[in-house]
Amino acid sequence: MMFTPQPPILATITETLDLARELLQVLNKESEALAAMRLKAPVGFAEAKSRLIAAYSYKLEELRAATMQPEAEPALAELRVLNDEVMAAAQHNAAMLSGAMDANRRVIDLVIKAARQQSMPPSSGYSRVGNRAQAPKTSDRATSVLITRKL
Amino acid sequence: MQPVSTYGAILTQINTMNSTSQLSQKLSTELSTNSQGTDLADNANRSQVISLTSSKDQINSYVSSCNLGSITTSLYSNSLSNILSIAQNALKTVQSMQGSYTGQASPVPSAQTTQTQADAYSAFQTLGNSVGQMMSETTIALNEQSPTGAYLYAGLRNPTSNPPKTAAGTNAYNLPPVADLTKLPYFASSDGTLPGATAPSPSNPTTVASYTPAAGSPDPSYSTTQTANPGAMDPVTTSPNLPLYDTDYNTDAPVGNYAKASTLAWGTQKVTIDQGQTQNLNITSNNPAFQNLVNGLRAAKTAADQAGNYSTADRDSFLSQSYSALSKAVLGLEGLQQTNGINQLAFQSSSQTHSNTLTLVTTQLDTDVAVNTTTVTAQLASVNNQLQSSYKVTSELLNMSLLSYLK
Repeated sequence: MMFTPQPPILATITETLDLARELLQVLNKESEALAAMRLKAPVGFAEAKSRLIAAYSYKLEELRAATMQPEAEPALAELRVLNDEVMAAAQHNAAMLSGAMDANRRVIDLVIKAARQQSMPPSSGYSRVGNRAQAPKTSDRATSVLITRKL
Repeated sequence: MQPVSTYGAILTQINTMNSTSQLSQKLSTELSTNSQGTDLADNANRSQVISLTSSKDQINSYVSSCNLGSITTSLYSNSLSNILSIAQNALKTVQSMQGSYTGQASPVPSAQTTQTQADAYSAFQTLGNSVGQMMSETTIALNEQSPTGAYLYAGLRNPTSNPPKTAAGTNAYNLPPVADLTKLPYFASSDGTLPGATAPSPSNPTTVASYTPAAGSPDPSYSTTQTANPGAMDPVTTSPNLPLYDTDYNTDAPVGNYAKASTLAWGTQKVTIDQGQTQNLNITSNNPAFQNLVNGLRAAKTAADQAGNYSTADRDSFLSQSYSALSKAVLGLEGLQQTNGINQLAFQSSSQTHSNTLTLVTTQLDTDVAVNTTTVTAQLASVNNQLQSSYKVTSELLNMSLLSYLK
């Protein structure tokens, strides 16, 4: 059987389709990880996304510059459908990342709040009527008196 | 004058406060701006072990509130769909009667009655039965109880804390908020007559069995109140005034300058779902949408059951008023559904956010009980960086102008 090489434009579309599928997979995987609140997952996905987006962009540029032949239309139609799926997945991915950043900010707030509360000295002020709101511990009082006498 | 040692103690305290305040301030800045100080990792003095237990407890309480809100709004959602369906059916039925019988006399059948008049009378009898059924269904729907036994539409009248205004010897509000609607009187005709045989008095004897008016207090009957607006429906009341169908209507303890009123019946429950953020939860049985529904049903019932007694003009007027009130009821109920849906989403979304925060505390920080601020700063900053980078990459994809080529 003789191997018939694909016309160049069809080969480019096939490569673009492969990239789109891979990109779709990465976006969905990252979104799944974020949905499960595995926030450390994006480190690997960001690199993969970046690489695939650059390649995808390059291929799209090639396609735009090429002269389309009628026989390429079915493959191009498939690419359009897949591209729509990629865009939908990217929008979902962006929403998930935004939600994760919001959740992370809340943890930050929580830690700050806890740190502030636990950094505060114990209350020992005066009440509204001028009495001590909280009596010092007996041991503290004893220490204070002892030092004063020495002086 | 203070002894020197006391000054020393104060100075020590001030220094401690300054030091902890600085730490907190610095930590706050670093965490919120996502930038670590250069000396952060090495400076052991900056480390502070903090407990997240109380913060977690606080978030858990928000989650509980959100879950309660979520369940309650789900109950309202089902109930409102049911009530809306009743209102829509009633509206269609009344519209159909208007289309077929407006201007057509419907006297009580006698030897002189024509076939057309007999048919009209019969049709109004059927309408009366249908509307009676709808009134029963509405009564049941507005007295729906939650799994804990609280009446969904009772406002702040609570089974455990609010006694009925004049019920002696009890200390629990155990009444349904809405009287049996089928027992409400007909609206009076334009000449002020009220069909005595059908006017019950006092209100709602069957569903409010435990109600006992205070000794010596007036106990106005329905018939006394209804002749006030001959030929017309009851006006829609506003807070704190109660509509006739409220089971507290005939109790005799005024609220401020108002008689037949209850701030509890109109009360809105607010639930705290986050720091400084509250969400309205309940819908009360006195809501104008329900008042319009009850008015519409009563006007239709009056037109139907009094078709042989009232003038044709009065009968048609009540049909027309019924249509108008039911139209408002449908619109109002749709509005309530929409508001309830928004509340439901807010509860669910807030609950999810809090749950995520708790998950992150457990998964991102090594422990959920006590954390070291230095370690935490590094961890949270790192995660934030990763998320931001990844978000930026996805944004680039979404903003790629080349994609328009495939459109």
